[in-house]
Amino acid sequence: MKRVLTSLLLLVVVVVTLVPHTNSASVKPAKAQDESLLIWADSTRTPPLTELAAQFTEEYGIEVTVQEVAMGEIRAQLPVAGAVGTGPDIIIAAHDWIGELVLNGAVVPINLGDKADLYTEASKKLFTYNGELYGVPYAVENVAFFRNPELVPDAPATFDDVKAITEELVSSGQSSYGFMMRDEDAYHSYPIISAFGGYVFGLDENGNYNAGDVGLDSEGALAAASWISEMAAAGYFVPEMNYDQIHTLFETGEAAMFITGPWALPRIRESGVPYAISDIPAGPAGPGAPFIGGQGFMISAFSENQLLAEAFLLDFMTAEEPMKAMYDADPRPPAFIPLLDTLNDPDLVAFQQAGLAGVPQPSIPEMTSVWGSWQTALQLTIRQEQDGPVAFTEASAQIRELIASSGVPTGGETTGEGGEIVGLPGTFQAQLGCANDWAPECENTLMAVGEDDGIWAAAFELQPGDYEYKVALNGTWDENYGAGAIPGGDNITFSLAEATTVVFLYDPVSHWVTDSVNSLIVSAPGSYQAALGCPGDWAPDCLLSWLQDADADGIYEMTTDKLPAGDYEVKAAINQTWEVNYGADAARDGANIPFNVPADNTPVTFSFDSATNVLTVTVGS
Amino acid sequence: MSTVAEAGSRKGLPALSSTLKYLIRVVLLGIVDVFALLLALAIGNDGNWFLAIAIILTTVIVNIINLVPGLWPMRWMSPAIALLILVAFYPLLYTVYVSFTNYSDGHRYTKHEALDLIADRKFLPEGVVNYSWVPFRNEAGDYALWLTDQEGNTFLTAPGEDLQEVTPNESGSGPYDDDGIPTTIDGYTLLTGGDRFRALAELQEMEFGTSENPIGILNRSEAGNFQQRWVFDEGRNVLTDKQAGIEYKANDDTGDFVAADGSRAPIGYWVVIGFDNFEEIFSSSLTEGPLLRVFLWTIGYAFGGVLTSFAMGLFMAIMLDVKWRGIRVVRSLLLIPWAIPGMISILIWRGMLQGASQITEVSGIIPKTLDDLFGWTPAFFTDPTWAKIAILLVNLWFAYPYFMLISSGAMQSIPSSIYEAARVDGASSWRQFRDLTLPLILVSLGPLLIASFIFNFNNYLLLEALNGGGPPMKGANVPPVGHTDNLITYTYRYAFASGGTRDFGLASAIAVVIFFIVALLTLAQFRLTRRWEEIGENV
Repeated sequence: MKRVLTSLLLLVVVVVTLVPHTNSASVKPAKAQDESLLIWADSTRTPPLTELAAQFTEEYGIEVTVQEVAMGEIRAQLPVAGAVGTGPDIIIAAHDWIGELVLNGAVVPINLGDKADLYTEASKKLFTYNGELYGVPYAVENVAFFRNPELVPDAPATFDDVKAITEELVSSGQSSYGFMMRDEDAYHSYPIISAFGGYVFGLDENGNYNAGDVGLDSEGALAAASWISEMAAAGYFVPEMNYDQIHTLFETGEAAMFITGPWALPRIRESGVPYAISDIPAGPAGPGAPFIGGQGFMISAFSENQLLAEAFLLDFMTAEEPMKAMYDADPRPPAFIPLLDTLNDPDLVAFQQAGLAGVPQPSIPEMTSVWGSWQTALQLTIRQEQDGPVAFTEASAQIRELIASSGVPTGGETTGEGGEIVGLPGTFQAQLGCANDWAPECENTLMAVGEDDGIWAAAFELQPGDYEYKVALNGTWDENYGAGAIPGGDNITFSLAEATTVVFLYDPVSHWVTDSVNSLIVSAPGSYQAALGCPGDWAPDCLLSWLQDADADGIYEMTTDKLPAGDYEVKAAINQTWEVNYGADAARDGANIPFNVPADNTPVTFSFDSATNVLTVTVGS
Repeated sequence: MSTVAEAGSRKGLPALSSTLKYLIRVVLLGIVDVFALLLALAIGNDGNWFLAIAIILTTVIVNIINLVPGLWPMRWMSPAIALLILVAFYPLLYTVYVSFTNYSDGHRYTKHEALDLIADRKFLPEGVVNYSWVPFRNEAGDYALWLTDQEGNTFLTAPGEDLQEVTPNESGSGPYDDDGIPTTIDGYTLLTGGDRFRALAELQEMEFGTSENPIGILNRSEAGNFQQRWVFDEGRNVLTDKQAGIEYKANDDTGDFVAADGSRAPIGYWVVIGFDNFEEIFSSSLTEGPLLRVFLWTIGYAFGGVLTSFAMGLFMAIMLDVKWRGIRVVRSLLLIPWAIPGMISILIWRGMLQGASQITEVSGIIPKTLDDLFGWTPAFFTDPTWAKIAILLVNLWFAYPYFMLISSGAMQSIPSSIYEAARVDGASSWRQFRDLTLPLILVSLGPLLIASFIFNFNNYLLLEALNGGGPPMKGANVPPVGHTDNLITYTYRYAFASGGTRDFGLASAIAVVIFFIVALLTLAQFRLTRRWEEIGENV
């Protein structure tokens, strides 16, 4: 024992003598607090940036370090390294990372100020997310239509022409293949889908991509899928082609047409094959739209030197010489107008021309849910294992479920306190990824129970059409309710003229089930709600004060006897928000309606007439 | 006296040397402790207290082992124990811990870190003037800003001094530059070039103007009375977006700031969420439809892979168990597949198997040869059954040298007298193999077979690199699943590659579940090998 104690004492002495005494300072991360910048760039952009950084250091006496990090790693590591203080100030980034980086709070908005006019509108639009610019763009790229002019003298105007030319070339033996596409590349197939009127995400009223509107099974997308199916069935496409193989076929003159981007220019030029670049052919919905992608610089939210970083990008990089250096190292069509004007490369002009019809490649985080399923649909179609439209319909259902499973929380548990579950069997279930319609057990259409109010709710984005449904408890038909809150009652029906998010509500006490198409969702927020058990007063989303209309007469009612004596105020609110609310005299945004409860537990009835928007409070029976 | 002295004297070492050795040990231990402490402090400073504590605990254990006399026999193992704790136990426990959190994209920071991160965001309240700015500095090193508002009025301001309207050509200002900005004014000089760049770091933290009308720099183009956009009220646990005037209530159960209308603030934080991730695994689509098929293939591949390569390895070992000059060269050559890095040979195999029969000029050597010979070739990548066979074939190529090596080793250890006895009894060579060789080598190879099984069960590289889990299964499966996906590749896709964002909590939960599956299977197999051991004991 004595020996152990001596050892410990000795050890303490040793440790104390060895530990540097300037303890806290020495262990701080070695991130420079003063004027210096760290840039993360990938292997192609590191050499020119290193040179430019040296130039900047020499000219202005500020150290700029460029660190080589693989493209995917930049995106993944920025939030990790940033959080511990070892991250960069500036990163090279692709525009479609923005959604994810903003979600992680890893990048900050940039104000181009007086340099804004020097960048193309398209490039600035790419780097704008939720109305704010998050990057300094330097290159913009999109695919275009390549053809071998010896085989195809004139650019085909439509995809029907593409098919006809392919037929002719192959049957006459002029070339082995006409138009070619890969089966594992969703990105290059988008121009075809858009030419037929298909899309990936629809736009909301502000012109932003709306993850709730997936269009890979829209009419146009299915028409495009049919076209691909027909081409595959005729044997014009070869499954399992990789990037190299398809380019080799074109470069050896065996394939006459394909879609590719500016990155392929060096190898095609080198091969010596005659080529011509033109716009994407049109389809029934007009010219095919390629995805437009952007490359640029972003500023880390973790940077201590954001102002300096912004000044570096706008006062140093935003000039012809640095932009030319970037272009020389990695020739993508520049976003910097003065450089674009001096380059004068007819191929780049052709790409730009094709890009005029393009749309920004979505940068919302939900886009990552799309690629895998889309590619699978394309593979199944080109390999002729499935008919195109079927494959694309299934892929879209898949994407919707992925987005639903990763997106906004449903607001609660799908299992009640007693272990009960509430399903919505109906004719919309297959569309929502269920195995079939009328499946009370399908998990995709379970309702979620409200934490405070005990009301079950669900919201689904549904395609236009006529629908029927009921509510069924515990995954079986044993206990189910239809119209009018009647056990085993009639199916409830509704129709949608356009894709709509429909809210479903079910009250486990009255058994009334309804949807936002058939009836108004009326609640009576007021100063009495906390007494009912709501999380607070004036809460339009608390469905303990939900006014119901089981008999569908347009009068929505609720009665409670839980209020203590006192004076209260109330209003009527539609759709659980304050956006549309009615006060005294049926006035929108009108005054609060006062009422008095004379004694504890006097029954109080709220009734709202949807025809006149009058909210009536009746105290006593 | 202590055991050391006794042990020392038993070995006949002088007592002095023992004390010296002991001193050296303490100093060495001290050095290790210093480095461990520094490392732990540095890591702790970065906010990762879990790892810091793990390092300190490990160091304590190493110290105890080396200082408590009774534990001395373990001291040569202490580096191994330290590594075991830090690279095996710690990640394991941390994974279990993460599986109970919502750590994912959008919830990557603690509440404190998340609030810190958005505390920098500023906005310009309505009606407040937005200026463009240029920096000035006087000889004393004090800064001033030249401000221009939207109407073109110009002002000068210094910290603590109110805005001073300046009209062009006012006294005290030097010549004006092309942008209409004086190069000197009131003793201040306009900063340009490197002076300006170097001043920016300092300027971005400074406040100009008076406390009633403060002017701060927002970015390269804007300055003004910008205000903090996101303000957190600790007492009410509410985050307010001052710009939009929306209050977001912090929900510490889900790690989100939620407004009354259900919308969320653009940042969340990670919290312990209990069993939610596990609930999601067992209630989500993951358990529907394809999971059973994926599970069966995982088992099938793990068993099939071990079985085929063991059979092949054993066969080769027996074949090569001959006395012949060049046999060692042959044996060494046969080990090559095992020695080449997996990724390289997988890609080579990928190339060799690739290609459909109709385009012979670009297809791989195997389909091409088969096509030339028989006019038919299996679709190794697109047909579900052939894709599985291709995987097993490539797996065989990788794994048989290992089994060949260990089988021939195990066979050496079987006493030749048993075979003599068997021959005397008139046993055929097949009988000898079935009843002697196989059971006896299984005794020693059993644990290795189990280890290989576990390796194959968790094999990500081969399945992902050869075929990416393809060909895809039909139907609206979530996530998209292929016929050759095993649990690991499938769950990787579920947690990371699709679904919008990376969900580390969910991925960890899945890893924990797979850990239990593997543990159960392993346990079952150990039971099985015990029977082999009984055979071994009876020989």
